[in-house]
Amino acid sequence: MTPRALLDSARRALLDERRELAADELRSLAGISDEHVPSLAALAHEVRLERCGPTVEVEGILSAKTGGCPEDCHFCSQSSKFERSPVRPTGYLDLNEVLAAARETQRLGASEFCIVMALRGPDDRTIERVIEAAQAVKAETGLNVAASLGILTRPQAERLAEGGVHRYNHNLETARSFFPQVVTTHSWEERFETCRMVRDVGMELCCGALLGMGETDDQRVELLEQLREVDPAEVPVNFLNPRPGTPLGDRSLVAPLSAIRWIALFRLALPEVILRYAGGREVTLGELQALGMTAGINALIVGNYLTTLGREPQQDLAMLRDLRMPIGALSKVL
Amino acid sequence: MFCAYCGREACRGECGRELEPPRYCPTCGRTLEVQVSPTGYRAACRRHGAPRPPEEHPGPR
Repeated sequence: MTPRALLDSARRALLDERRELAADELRSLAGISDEHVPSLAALAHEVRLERCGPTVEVEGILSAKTGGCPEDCHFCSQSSKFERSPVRPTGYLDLNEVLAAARETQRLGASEFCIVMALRGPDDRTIERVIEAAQAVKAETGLNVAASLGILTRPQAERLAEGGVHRYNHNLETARSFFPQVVTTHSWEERFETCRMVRDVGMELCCGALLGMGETDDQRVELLEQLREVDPAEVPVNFLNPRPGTPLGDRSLVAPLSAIRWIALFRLALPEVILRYAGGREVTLGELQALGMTAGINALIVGNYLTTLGREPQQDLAMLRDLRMPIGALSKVL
Repeated sequence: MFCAYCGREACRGECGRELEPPRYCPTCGRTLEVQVSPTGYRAACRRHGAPRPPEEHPGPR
């Protein structure tokens, strides 16, 4: 099939027939030549507007416990296994520090604030600490509060949901077939199980991907199918920003046009999710960041990340103004 | 003086890391304790406290 025929077929499937694209269709679209990537992006933007509307969700994130993680995720500077990583462990931030970060986020016009901790999984004291913070942040700033604390037990997931955490982040990161090459201290299945549990207890699931770790295009399509299985409300798309001292520290960045291609494919595979620009976008896309906003993205993390800095928030807000994209909350539950 | 970004004495900014907080004390080269927040960061060396502003020590801007 020609690229134009592939795109026409995908358009009919998503906008007229309202059926999801099959893995074979996604693989074919993944293989179209570079000169057709802008057409792929345009289709993804059309699908996003039709299925999600024009609103963009803005979020701030905070590492409330940095480093010292016992897991060995090869992309992560916070693992205690990588002695050459310069990220030093810090203790848990106290409530006042979390509130100060939430106020920073609120001033940026965000609707979402995510409390992140570098853990295999939380203990019950940590769960209560996060609930206390979530309730204080919500009461003081009105922000919706999400959390990312690693692998959960069912009682912990239930407690977070009852305690007012509306969304929980737990990334699959990569395809099941590739996962053992980047993490050995826990399994893909353990992640999948936490994702399902999050939805079962009534929280929104935020389940993302990290592209550029050496996975193949077929494995990216495999991941898209696996994301469909867990049915997330939100999918943050991260691009590997190689961290010094980690096993993936010497890998190259994803090429900018390839990043746009895969943003578009994520939108076409997951037409109704909140598709969020996340870590690595600045170093990967550089001047093409606005193009991602017209290739299927409808949410972004503004400001800094967990251990690295983002570009100036005012640049992102100006980009959204220039694109005439309104800022607001997006949710399947609210 | 140590590069605040890669920790090498010889580096004068050529390590080229963008959008990074400082990670090493420019005075002693030890790793810093760094806390990043949505719109800023703070960094401190156990021995020398907060490093001077980035424009005053080697490393990328």
